[in-house]
Amino acid sequence: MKNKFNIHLFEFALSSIFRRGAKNIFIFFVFTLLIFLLSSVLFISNSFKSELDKTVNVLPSIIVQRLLAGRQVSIPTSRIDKLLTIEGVSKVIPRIWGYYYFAKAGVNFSLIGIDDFGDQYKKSYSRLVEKFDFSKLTYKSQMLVGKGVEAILKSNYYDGYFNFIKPDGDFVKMTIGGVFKGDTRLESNDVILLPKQKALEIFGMSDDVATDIVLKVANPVEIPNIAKKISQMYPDCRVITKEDLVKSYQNIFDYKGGLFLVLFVISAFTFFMIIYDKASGLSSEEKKEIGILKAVGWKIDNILKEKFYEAFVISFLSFITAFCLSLFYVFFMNAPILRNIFIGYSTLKPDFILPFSFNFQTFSIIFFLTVPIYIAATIIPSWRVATMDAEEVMR
Amino acid sequence: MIEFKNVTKTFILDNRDEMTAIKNINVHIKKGEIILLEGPSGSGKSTILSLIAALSKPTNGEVTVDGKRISKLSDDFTSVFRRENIGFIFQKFNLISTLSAKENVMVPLIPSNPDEIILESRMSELFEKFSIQSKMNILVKNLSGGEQQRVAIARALVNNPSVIIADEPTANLDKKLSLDFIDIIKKLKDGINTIIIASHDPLFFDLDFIDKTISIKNGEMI
Amino acid sequence: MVKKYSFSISLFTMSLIVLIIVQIALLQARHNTDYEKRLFVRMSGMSDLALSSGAHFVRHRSVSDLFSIFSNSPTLTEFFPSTFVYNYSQIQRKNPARIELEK
Repeated sequence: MKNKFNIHLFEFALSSIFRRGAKNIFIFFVFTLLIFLLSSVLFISNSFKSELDKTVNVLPSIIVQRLLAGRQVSIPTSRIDKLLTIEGVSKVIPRIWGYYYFAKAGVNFSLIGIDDFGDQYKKSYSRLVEKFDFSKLTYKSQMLVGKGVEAILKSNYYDGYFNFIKPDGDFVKMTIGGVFKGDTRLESNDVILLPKQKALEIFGMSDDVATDIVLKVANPVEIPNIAKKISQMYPDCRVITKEDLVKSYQNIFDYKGGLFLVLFVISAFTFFMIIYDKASGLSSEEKKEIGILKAVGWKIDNILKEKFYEAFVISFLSFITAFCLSLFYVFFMNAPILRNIFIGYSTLKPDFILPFSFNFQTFSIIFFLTVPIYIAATIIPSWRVATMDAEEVMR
Repeated sequence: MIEFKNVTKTFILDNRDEMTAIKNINVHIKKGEIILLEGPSGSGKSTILSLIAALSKPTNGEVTVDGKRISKLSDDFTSVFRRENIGFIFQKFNLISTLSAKENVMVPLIPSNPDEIILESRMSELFEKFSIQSKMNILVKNLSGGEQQRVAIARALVNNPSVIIADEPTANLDKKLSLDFIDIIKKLKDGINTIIIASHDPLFFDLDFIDKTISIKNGEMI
Repeated sequence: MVKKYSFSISLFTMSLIVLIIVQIALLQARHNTDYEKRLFVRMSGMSDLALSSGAHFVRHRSVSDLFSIFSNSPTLTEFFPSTFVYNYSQIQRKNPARIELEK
C-alpha cells in the first residue's frame, strides 16, 4: 500500500491543470511550438547529415587541387606520372568538372566529365538512369542529367537537348541520353554527366590539364603519408584526403552558428521567460491553495508530488506532441517553408524526399533542456510556500 | 487531553515589530468536552486554535494533544497529526472554489490513497448527513453560504477526527444559518469528540450543551 | 468514480505514442535507396549534396577554395540563406602557405 501509485493525487494534479486552464493551455502551446521548431530543424539537418554519411565510403581517397593566389586553377596532367611513382598509390585519375551558368534561367549546372560510357558500366547506369538507351550513349554528344536539369531545360524550351556556349562563343549541342532517377535526386539534381572531351570543349580547357586529380590508395592507412608526400612534391597543391571530407561532412552544420544560433537563442529566450514567470512565485490563489492543503493534513511531500505531476504532465505532453507533429511535418509533408532555409532560393530546387534519420542524442538534449527545467521552475516556488506555516500562508 | 503550559505566541510583523498574540496561557481541556473560547476580536482566540491544530508553533511553552507534544513535532509529523486528529472549520471556510463540493471534502483523504469503494461510501455518508447530496458535483463557488458551510463541516469530519475546531463559524452567516450550525454541533456531541468553538457571537453564550467557556482578552485568560 | 482527467490524459498520451510508432514504422518501411546513392557518388566521383546550387562554396563546400566564398569579387557576397545555414568547410584552412621557389 505504501508504494502504490496514488491515483487520487494524480487526478487532483490533473484537475489543477484544467482548473487553471487558460494559463496552462498557453504554456502547452508555446512549449509545443518551440520544441516543434527545434526538433524540425534538427530532423532536417540530421537527415542531410545521414545522407552524406551514407556515401562517404565511396569518395576518393585523395584529391589533389592546384591553388594559385588562393584560387583553384587547373592542374597539369603531366603531374600524373610523378604521382604514380608514390608507393601505395594504385591509380591516378584526372578529373574534369566545373560549373556551367545557364544565364537565361539563372542557374548553375555542375558538369562532370567522365571517361567513355564503357560497357562495364552498363549495369550501373541501368540502375541509376531512367529513360535510357545505353547503346545511344556511345555517341559522343550524349549527356546524362539530373531531374532538376531536365526540368529547367524543358521549361526553357530545350526539349531533350541543350546548347552549351563555349568560351569562344561557339555552341556545343548535347542531347539528353538519360535522366537520373529520383532516388538519387539529392546527389544528382543539378548534375550533368558527359564525355570528358566534351567537358573540356565546353570549359575551353586544353587536353593537358584537369580540374583536379584523384588518387586511389589500396591501403587506407597509408593515406596520410601519401598526402604528406604529395604536399612536399607539389607545394602549390592542396591535398584533400577522405578523412578531410569526412570531417567536412561532420561540420556542415555548426550548431553554434548561423540559423541554429538564431533559433536556439529565440527558443531559449522564450522558454526562459516562461520559466522566470513560473519561478518568480505563485499567484495569491495558488499560495492560498497550498496553505489549505497543508491545513487539512497534506505533507510537504504530498504537495510537491502534486506539483511535480502537474509540471511533468504539461511539459512531457508538450514534448511528445511536438515530436509527433515534427516527425509528420518533416518526413511526411517534407517540411514546407522550413526546408527552403536549407536549400536556398535557387531556381534549381531539388524536389527530394527527406530521408528518415533519428539521432537519439539530440532529442535527449532537447528533452533534458526543457522538461526537467520546467518541473524545477514549478516546484521551487511551491516548495518555498509549502515550508511556511500554513496559517501564515492562508492569511 | 488538550493541554497548554505557559504558552506564548509572538508574531514578527512586516515592519520588524513584534506582536504578542497570547501570553502565558494555561488550559486543560478534557476529552469529549465542548468548549467555547470567547473574547473580542483580536483577543487571541484564533491563535489558540491554530496552536491546537499545529498550524503554527508557540514561541514559548508547550502544547500537548492526547499526550503528544505537538509543539515539538516536525512539519511532516504535524501534517499527519492534523490529518488524523484535527477537523478544522475555518472562519471563511477556506474551500477551494474551483473544485466541486465532493472534491473539496475528498481533499484531506487524498494523501492516504484510500480505496475507491471506501472513499465513495464515506462521501455518500457525509453528504447525506448534512443533506447536501444534490450539491455533490457542483462547484463550491456556485453554492450558497449555508451550503458552503456544510461542505466545510463535512470536510472537517471526513477523517473522523478526535478534535473538531471551529473558528468564528457564524461570522459570515445570518441568524437562521447560525442556528442551523448550532444545531449541527449539538448533534455532534457524543462524549468522544472534543469540540472547540471560538466566537464572540452572543448566540453561543448560555447554550446548555457547552461544557466550559474560556474567556480571552488581550491575549490573556481572564 | 471515473477518474475522468487521468483517463483523458492517458488516452491522449497513448494516442500520441501510437502515432509516433506508426510513423516510424511507415518511414522504416520505405524503399531503401542507399545502394543507388552510393553508386551515383562512385560513378560521378563528386562529394556533397545538390542542396544549393547557387553558390559554389555551398554546392561543393568540401572541395571549394577561399575565393569561391568571395564569389570572385572583392566584396563578400553572402548567398542567403544557405550561407547562413551551412558552415564553411575546414578545408579552407588547407591552403598552401607559400610556393617554394627554390629549385
